[in-house]
Amino acid sequence: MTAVGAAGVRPRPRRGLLGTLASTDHKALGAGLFTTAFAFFLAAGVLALLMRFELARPRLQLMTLHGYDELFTLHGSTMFYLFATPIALASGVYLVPLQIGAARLRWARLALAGWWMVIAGGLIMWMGFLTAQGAADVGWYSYWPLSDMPSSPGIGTDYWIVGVLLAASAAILIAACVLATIVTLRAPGMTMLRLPVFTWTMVVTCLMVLTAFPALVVAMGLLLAQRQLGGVFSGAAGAFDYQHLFWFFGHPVVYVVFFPFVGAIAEAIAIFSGRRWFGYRPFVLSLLLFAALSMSVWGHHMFTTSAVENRYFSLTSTALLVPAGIEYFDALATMWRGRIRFATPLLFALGFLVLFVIGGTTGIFVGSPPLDYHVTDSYFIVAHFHYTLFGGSVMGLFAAVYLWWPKVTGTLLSERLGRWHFWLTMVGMNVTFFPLFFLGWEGMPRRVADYPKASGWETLNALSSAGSAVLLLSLLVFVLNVVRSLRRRVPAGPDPWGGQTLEWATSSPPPPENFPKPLPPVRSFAPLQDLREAAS
Amino acid sequence: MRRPGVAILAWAALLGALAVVLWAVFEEVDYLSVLMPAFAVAGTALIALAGWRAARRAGERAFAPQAVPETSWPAALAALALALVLLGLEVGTFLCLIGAGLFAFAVGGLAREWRAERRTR
Repeated sequence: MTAVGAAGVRPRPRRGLLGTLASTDHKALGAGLFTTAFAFFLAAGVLALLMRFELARPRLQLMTLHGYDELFTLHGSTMFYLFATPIALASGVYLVPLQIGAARLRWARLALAGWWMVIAGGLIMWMGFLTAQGAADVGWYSYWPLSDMPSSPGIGTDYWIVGVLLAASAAILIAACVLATIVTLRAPGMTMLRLPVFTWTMVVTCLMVLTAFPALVVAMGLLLAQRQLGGVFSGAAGAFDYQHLFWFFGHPVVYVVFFPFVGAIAEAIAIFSGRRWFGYRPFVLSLLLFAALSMSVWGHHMFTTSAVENRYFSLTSTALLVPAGIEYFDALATMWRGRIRFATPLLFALGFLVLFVIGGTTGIFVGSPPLDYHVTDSYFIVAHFHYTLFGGSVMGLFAAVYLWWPKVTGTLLSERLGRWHFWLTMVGMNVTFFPLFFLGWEGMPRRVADYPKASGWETLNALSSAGSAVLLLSLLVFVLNVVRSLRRRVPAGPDPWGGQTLEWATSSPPPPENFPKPLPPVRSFAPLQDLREAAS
Repeated sequence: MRRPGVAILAWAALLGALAVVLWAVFEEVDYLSVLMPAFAVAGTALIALAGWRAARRAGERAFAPQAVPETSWPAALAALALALVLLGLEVGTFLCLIGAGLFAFAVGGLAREWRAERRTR
């Protein structure tokens, strides 16, 4: 038990692995949750590679049809529930207290419990592979009645539901901690309209988790009850009810795993352009609008069911262009006439902007019901959401990693390897996912392990599979960069980039109390930039 | 917008406005399309209220030195116990009971931590 606060001091603890696993220090917690989520990303990536290698040629080569169902279910589920959501929240757990000048995370024990629930949920979900009938085979959304006992009798599906319940509950707990920290522990002078851009993206992310994820918890609870006891869902109305509950969570989650990385690329663009973020207030308003709209578009996943008001959901889906456009404009205006340094974080940020344009515009395309009817459940949809999730979230994640790695570890990553990583990711990403637009347009359905040789889809599938091998190579370069950085330990110093927000005012890595010295005055959302401008 | 409660309430208002468009303008609205946005708006308004009160109470206290444990094994144990209870629904009652026992043990540990924290204030 030690005192932590603005005046609190304590020696840097030597925790060891066991101490880290139960630490309430937000930095250990954030790093632990981040590492856990990244491990799940690698595991889900292996499943993706297996699927791509299976699809490289017609006929079954590596697995059975049922085995393929298990792979795409666990791939999607792991990516959403165990990687993307936890890693987005982990970024907030680590960075938000530092950005707002706080010494700790509010309700850190809850966040610690959340981390363990993610670990337990992931292990239980993957335990399905060890059961006689295999892991869950119902897709990451497990539509009822396909997920009911007669269609999916294996216990692997029950394990999957328990895993999702735990991971979703964990997200709610962690989001509550991050939001409570922002509300109650801001440094003197830091009003809501002086929060750093990344912290603002965490505000809307947490609000969305707190309002959308309960729908998933309810859906999974009801599905478990249906499978064990029956009588919860029935007929077509039951199927639609399940889909409503699921997609009320299922669309916002895309933004939950997107907004924090919008914040990360915004910080990277501002720092490496040598200018503060352009249009802060319109950006904040656009974030609130973006989040509200994204909570109001869930029905576009149900266009073809005829059970939703298509005109409304098409309107709200198209309206997403407005806040997205404001954010793009802000990014370009920040760079305009800036002193741009093309360091690795900025490269990934620019990659994010380019790839998300493709993901976003094809989203508007499928937000139109007549066009959606043509491509629904095809590889076009797979290409669209991989451009938003891989091109958006994962590129943003790597921008964040390269930007804040020196702060977290106190060491620098290699710029040369970083550039290799970036270009291999860009090439791999586009070669893997762009051909899928054409495959989908030509009618190749998603979630199939095989396709007829006469379909003419072999070349594009082989190209996509080759791209996935390039993506694997890019990840290996990243891992090499991380290992090299940790072994060589080239000191980064407290502020290697010329940062603008409070986390760059403390040492790297930050001490347990975060800010042993008095904080600089907070008069805007970029207090260190204020000091720099006042000095020049 | 400078205060957290107002910012959160602004978001609730945006959500509410979009829900009202769905309910008022379009005719074929099923009950979940009414209930879920209503839940989200009400939930956000509650968060705004809680945030407004918490921010007011936090005030100066937020930056006073505060006793916090460096580690909390009971918190980690509580999470694992909960996972065992849920897994027990599938595997068998014995696992539910083990999980419940561990959960009670973890709650006891958390209570000890809270008491120790209060003593140091």
